Amino acid sequence: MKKTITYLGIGLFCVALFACEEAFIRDEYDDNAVDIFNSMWTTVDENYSFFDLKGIDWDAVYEANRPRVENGMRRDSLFNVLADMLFVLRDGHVNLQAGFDLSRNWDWYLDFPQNFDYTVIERNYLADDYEITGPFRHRAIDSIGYIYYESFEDDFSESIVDYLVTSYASRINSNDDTLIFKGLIIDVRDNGGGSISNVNTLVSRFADERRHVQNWQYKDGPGHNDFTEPIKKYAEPEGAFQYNGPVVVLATRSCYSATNFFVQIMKNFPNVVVMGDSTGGGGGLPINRELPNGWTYRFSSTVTTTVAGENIENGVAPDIRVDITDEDKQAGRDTILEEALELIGQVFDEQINGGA
Amino acid sequence: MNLRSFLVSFSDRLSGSLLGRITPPWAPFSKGELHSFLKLPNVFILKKEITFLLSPFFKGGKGDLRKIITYAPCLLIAFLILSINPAQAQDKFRSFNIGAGYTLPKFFDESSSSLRYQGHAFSVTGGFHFRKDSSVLDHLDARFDYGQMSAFAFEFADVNYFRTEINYSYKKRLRNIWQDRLQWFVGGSFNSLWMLWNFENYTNNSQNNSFYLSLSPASSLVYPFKLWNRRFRAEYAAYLPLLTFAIRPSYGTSRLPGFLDDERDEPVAQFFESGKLTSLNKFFRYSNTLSLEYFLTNRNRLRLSYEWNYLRYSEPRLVQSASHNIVIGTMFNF
Repeated sequence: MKKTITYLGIGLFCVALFACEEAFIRDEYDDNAVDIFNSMWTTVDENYSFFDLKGIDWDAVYEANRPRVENGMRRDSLFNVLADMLFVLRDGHVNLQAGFDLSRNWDWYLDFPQNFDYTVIERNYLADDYEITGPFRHRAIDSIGYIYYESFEDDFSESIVDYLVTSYASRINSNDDTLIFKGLIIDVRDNGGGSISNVNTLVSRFADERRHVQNWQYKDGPGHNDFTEPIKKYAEPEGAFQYNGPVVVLATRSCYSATNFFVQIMKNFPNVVVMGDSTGGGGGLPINRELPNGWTYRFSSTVTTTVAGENIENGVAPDIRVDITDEDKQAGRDTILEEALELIGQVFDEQINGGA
Repeated sequence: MNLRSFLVSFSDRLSGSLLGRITPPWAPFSKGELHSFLKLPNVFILKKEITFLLSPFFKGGKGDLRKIITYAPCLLIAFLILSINPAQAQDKFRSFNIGAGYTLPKFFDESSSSLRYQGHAFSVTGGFHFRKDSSVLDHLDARFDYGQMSAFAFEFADVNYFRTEINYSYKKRLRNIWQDRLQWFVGGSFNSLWMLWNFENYTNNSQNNSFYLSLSPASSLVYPFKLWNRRFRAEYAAYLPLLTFAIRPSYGTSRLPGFLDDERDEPVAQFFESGKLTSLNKFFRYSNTLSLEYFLTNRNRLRLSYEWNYLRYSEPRLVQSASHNIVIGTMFNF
């Protein structure tokens, strides 16, 4: 009898071990307004990477917004509360996406001069005599290569970027001493970012040697200052040709995220000057999360610093600050581009006169 | 006469007590005994008893059909259980196995979402089974799942699910139990499990990889039997990892910790740096499988198996996953 009970017990135990995961695997939060609010607040609290840099008291944000939330409230009202909470982060990488709206904080460029008008570029500089190679629009202006790149979301091949840098290589024809190109302007104004791999491909054609260009830190715990040790990032020469002539990168406040990375990395090279305005920032890689009602959101989860340790979340300052003047705007001139053309001309002349 | 008294009287007629007949619940009757029971008068008695037993449930309404559909399989299974006979110990057997089936996966991963995901997946399996002298089970099994999953909050599937598991187990027969009808095997298993959840709506953290290498004690209960003069083999197998090398994404990103420094070109070193040796207190996994093999005349077998497994690991953030898997396949003797 004892044996029978033992065997029956073992049998029942085995059967009970089938299909019992429902008791263990559950949603962390329910689909109601309070849980949705708590879910977002907690996730951001444990994962967002710039609380201390921006001096944000996230607990105070909770206290200010939690009373505004109650179960059964309208969806758009809840969306507005959550959007208000995220707005405090002052981060272009932070968005809440519902089917009917996208929350954002775009003050990183709205509060600053635009300093770019593509119509002026297209009509007065590119005109009708320019090439479109992949996502790049380019031509020679006064023996200086000009390349406009609208978005790092637009992919390009290795051969395309090789073609560009070899086409506008700064050199003198050795047969007849005629000037071919003095230098190169890369215009990334209004480029809101995109893929980091496109950044890496592009900068590899300007790297003179393997250079330490950035440091990255990842969150490694729920505390606001829980980060890994800085991990060094390098730019390495790749491709058929490295451009070593004078380069001017044009930037404005509407350069964000991957473009912010691009501008910061290019500043590390000795032959590159950044001209225009500070970039808008965006120094953390954003990650995505979901809410129990199906809305999604994203926020920054890493920290990027320069070799000197400066955080680039709030932007990268130009080497030469230039704004488009009202007079030039009226006259259809791009002040920043004109300054860049002049600078490259001067640098080239100095190199020629100095025998470089 | 109710069913109990019917069974008691029936048991008495077969010279045994009721408990003796239903414990163990299978194989109390020989084929001859069963045939003698299924003579016409007894069938009428049986029908009467079943009608009496089910009378509280069936009242002549439309719902009766649903009840009949519900109870009929139970009665069929009961009939099969009463019909089977224990067979002799299994022969030496080597097989190459292939199969296909269906998986119902679920997971909750705090590092990706606060929501629970569930979906459907297609499975393919393969493996080799070596069974030596009825005393050793030497099995190598592999299974690959691909499917789509979604959280209940979402209308459409938004996670691609990949799972690959390779399991090697070696078990020796410890002893026979239950009047030599059940063979009890114990041994160990080495298990590798890789899972990838690819979140289509995510960007930088879309790919959530995890990898587990485990050492486990393993056990099997094997019950060879005959039903309608055909040979079958039922097996219950389970393992519980005690020591596991677990690789999970780092806290703040879906990348593995060893691969955060993408300047390094040492994938093997980075792989091992990403993992932690852990044991039962932090990593709990339980897998159990019920299988039924049907012997074909050419020594090949058809195999139907059902597996349920559950995994829970708390570092760096809680992950739980479970799956139900049913596979039908062929075991080719060689």
